[in-house]
Amino acid sequence: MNLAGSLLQGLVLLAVAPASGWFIKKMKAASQNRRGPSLVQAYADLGKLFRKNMVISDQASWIFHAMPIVLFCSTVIAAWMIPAIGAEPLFGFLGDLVVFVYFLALGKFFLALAALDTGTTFGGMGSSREMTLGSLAEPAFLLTLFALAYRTQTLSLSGMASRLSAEAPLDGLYFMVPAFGAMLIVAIAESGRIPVDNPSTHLELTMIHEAMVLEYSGPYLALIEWAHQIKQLIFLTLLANFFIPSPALSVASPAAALLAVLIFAAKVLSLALLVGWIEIHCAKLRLFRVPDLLGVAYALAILSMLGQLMMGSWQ
Amino acid sequence: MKTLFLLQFIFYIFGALIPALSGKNTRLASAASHLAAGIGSMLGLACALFVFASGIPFEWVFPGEGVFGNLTLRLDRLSAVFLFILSALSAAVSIYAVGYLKDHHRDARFLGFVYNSFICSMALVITAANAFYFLLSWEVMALTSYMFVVMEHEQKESRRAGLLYFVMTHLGTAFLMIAFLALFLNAGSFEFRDFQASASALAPAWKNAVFVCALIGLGTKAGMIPLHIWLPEAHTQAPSHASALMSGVMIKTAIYALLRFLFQFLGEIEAWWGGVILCAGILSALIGILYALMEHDLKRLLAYSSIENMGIVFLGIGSSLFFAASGRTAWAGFALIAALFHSVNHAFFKGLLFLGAGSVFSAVHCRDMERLGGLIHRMPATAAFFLTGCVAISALPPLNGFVSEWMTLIALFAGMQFQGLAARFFFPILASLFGFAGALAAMCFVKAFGITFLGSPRSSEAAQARESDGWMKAAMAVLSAGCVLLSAGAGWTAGILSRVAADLLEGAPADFLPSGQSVCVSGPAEMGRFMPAAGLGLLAVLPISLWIWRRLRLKQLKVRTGPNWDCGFSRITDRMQYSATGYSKPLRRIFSFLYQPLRRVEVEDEGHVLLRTAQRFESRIRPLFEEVLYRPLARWIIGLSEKARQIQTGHIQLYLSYILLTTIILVLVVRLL
Amino acid sequence: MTGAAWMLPALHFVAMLLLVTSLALIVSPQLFACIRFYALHSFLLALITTGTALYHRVPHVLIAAVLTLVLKTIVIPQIFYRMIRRLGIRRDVETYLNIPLSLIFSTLLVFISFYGVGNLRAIKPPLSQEFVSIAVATLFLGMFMMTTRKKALTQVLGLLLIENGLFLLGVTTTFGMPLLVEIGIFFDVLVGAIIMGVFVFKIRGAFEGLDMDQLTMLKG
Repeated sequence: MNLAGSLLQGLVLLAVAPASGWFIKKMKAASQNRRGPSLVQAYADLGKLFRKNMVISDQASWIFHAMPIVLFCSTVIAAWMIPAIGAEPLFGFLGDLVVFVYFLALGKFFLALAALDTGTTFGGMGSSREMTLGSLAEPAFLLTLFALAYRTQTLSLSGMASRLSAEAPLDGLYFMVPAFGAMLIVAIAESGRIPVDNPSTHLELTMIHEAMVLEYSGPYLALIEWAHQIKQLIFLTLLANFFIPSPALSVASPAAALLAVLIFAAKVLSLALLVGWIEIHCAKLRLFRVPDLLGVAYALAILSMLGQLMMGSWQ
Repeated sequence: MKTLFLLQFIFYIFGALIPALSGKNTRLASAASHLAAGIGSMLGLACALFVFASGIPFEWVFPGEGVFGNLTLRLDRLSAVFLFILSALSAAVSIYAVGYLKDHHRDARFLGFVYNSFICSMALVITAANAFYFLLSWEVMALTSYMFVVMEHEQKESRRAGLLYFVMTHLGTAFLMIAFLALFLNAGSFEFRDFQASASALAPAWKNAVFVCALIGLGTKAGMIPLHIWLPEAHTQAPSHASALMSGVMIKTAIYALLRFLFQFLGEIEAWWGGVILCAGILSALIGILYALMEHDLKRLLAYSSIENMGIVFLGIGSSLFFAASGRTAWAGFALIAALFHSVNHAFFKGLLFLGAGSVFSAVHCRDMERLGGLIHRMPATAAFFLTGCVAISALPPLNGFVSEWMTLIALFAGMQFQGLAARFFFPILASLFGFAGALAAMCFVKAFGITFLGSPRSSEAAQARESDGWMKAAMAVLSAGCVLLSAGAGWTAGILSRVAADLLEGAPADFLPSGQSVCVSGPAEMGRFMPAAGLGLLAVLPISLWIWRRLRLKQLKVRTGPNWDCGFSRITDRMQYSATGYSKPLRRIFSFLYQPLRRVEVEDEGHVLLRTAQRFESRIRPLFEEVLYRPLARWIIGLSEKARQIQTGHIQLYLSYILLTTIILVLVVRLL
Repeated sequence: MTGAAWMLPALHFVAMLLLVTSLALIVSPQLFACIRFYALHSFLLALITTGTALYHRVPHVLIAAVLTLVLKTIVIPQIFYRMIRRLGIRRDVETYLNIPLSLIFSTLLVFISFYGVGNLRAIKPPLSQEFVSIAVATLFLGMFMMTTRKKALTQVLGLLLIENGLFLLGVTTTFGMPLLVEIGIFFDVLVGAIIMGVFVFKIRGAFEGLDMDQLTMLKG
């Protein structure tokens, strides 16, 4: 049951990922008095892409072919490293929080390389922007994780999640709120959503993520898109399990596992609601304003850390 | 084993002499000379591995005379680590040099001589157990590497880089000499063993003074910011195979000596040393990589990234000192292992990258990335090896750079266990800034690989590049394999290094790879379990790729090649590609307070804007350290010298009287002391 | 003589929000947002004051809390809004430092205040000590704001931030001054804000702008 639960956990993430993206889309549509796509559409799009033929740039090298697979693999490994429905993560161990960050970075590294591979202007532009913003988001992300790790006295993601959810809600509020703010900004930046990047833009000059994958089509594009949705869900899952208190989840029996999946879904949906709300109410920032936003995230992470050092020691 | 140990030096000397003795056939002489060095390195490698396996240090004493004492060569575990770095890298580089120097080096014979002497001197630096002979080999090392730097002496930059290197390295040696002399005064002998034995007798003030001198002296060699300015110049001007050794090994001899000083010669460790080294480390890591990102000369980029990596090693050493000073021996050992591991790793991937850069240079005769591009099609093997190096140096799993950076990060995080508020606050900040440097490094190497090897050629030379020959490919393959092996065998490597750390810290090696403490990690043992699991994870996703591949094979999936997306306008040309300068433009704007970029646009026209004939654009960054720190210093020294010139009149009698006066004063001083 | 157990964590939370608001005040690029953040800051201050009053059962502090609420969250911001409208000045804030840099400096300042106050054994505050450091941090941040801003209005905001810090210090260390003094201080602040408003008018009249850089011309 233990291993089965761990496997199931990752599979749930893989399976739910398109739906979480769909939810935000639907919400945006509702705010604009549109009906929006149906849930089936999210999966149908992926299926269609998997079946389509490919057009490949005449300048592409093997990097172009390797990237979707490396990106997908590294994202899937990262997905199996985080706690979602209460099972022990498949690849979890003490110190895995750093490894998790670096696995996501591996995917990004190849994504940025493949963008340069075809030698187009847009690819280079997207690649340069993605790496710049990604590296600026890194210290804030790490420091937030470290602040939470300091509170929970453990360096494993699942340990952090279980100890944070066991905490009395009011006690930790003073450091959880800034940490949540920091991590939310990082999550938005990393999953390429407004106000950092607009996932539904059609203007190449303003793209970041889309500009990198302009040359892709067919199954490769499907893998990339899926990986991107998984990555977005990974961040939502982390936010949900660290910051939204809930009864302890478990996968000890099928019934408990079903309940855990439901609670998990509720938590992630409420966060998706928040992300969608931000998306509806914000305009995309100018590229050179984004560092300010990430600076805010870093400052919040520092405050979360400092708050613990100060208030924690005199309680 | 002892004979083997000595035999390697004999091979180096032999290798150095071959070019001088051989006849007219330059190519053969050069090849033989480098191969001799290669064999010597293999012997050195065997010795290092033997010491790891048996744990018995061995020693060779040549009786010497006078105050300097015997020439003692000792290979203990610490020396063996660095001998391993040296030998492994120089073995690969020697193979490489045979191919690299085949065509275009009229000085190939002289290079063979310098090359062998360089390796020999580094081996002596690492194994000499006597300060006098250490300094002697240190100077020979500086001199031979200087010759590499000025190899292209007809070029102005080369001479300038050589001069800068010469001045800086001697400045460093002067400080190092002071440190050694102070230790000599205390111990009464130049033997390292005596230094160590009398370390506890060192007065605190002396101890701190020696630390400062040693840090400045060795920091100069290691490229520690702000003493780094020689490094990018010198490493760029030297031939690529020599740069690989300089960057991979030579700057690490400074780390070796620093470890000897900190953990053996100076007795009780003070916490503030750790603070200083941590600050220097994070500065070097961040500023080094930020400058690397601005470069579009491939070798300068690599050189700046060496500064970053030395910063990472310093972070490991600094936190180790902090832990050791507060009696947390287990964590001190962990941090020290991280630092040593990163030294080993850096030698492999930076050596690999420099060799790759050399291959590019010998194929295109150009190091400027703005004129490269698309080389992956022309040089597939070199590209694959270079990519391996890039992934490793960006600390991405599953290659070796990741393991040591992970350990350093964890060690920094463990600093939060301290009671002091400042330590608790600054350690995680340091860790996050270090993560920032790591992310910037990934960007830097996406740029280095992407602009150089991907896209389409930016010049006709790049379009006609030829793959390098078998020797060069073999050497790069060896180093790539090293990167993979060091990661797959991370647990073993950490085990070996933990015994080295135990020698330095006098603790039990088993403590250093802790598991299951409160704020804590499991160490590489867990890592060793994780890597196979991750491998399995990769395998699990293999079916998808197989499935796509099968469908491609069975023509269920049609693939059409076509031109790039051009927004529906005319076709995109090669000149529209993102350039190396453009790639890092966002950072140049965000960090403009550091770079202080200068931008000049000149427009020439015939009387009206519309009749434009030429437009020139110039953009460069201000070298802050040179302009803010070194120029004023140089001006001050020159001003001082101007004043000193007043005693210089041109009368020879006056000069003789100065000599007389000095001698009299000396005699009197000696009498009074 | 202390209140319910849940109050201290709640006060911690409010104190953290206070810090976040100070930082927001420092980095927000728009004048109106600055004023709103100042109002929020004062509101949180009033909350902490109320909390202290209830926690330690010292009713007279409640009056100070009410005064803070009325004066600083409503009256003073209104004065500012009006001033801006009548002056018709540009609504963006001009600083010497960009946002990330001022954030880094501000967090360092917060750390320094924590670090420094942590060793002040002489102060034995009735409420716990972290409020003292937060008060000092607010003071620092106010000074920081005054030193890095170009416009007179934002400097006045910095001054008010300092005043808020001092008030917090007073409330959390000594339960505030005697009521009379407290009311006097409030009156001072109010009058100060009005006078400074007048000054801002005069500066503009004399220098054709509110840029404090131009005041360097006054030196002999």
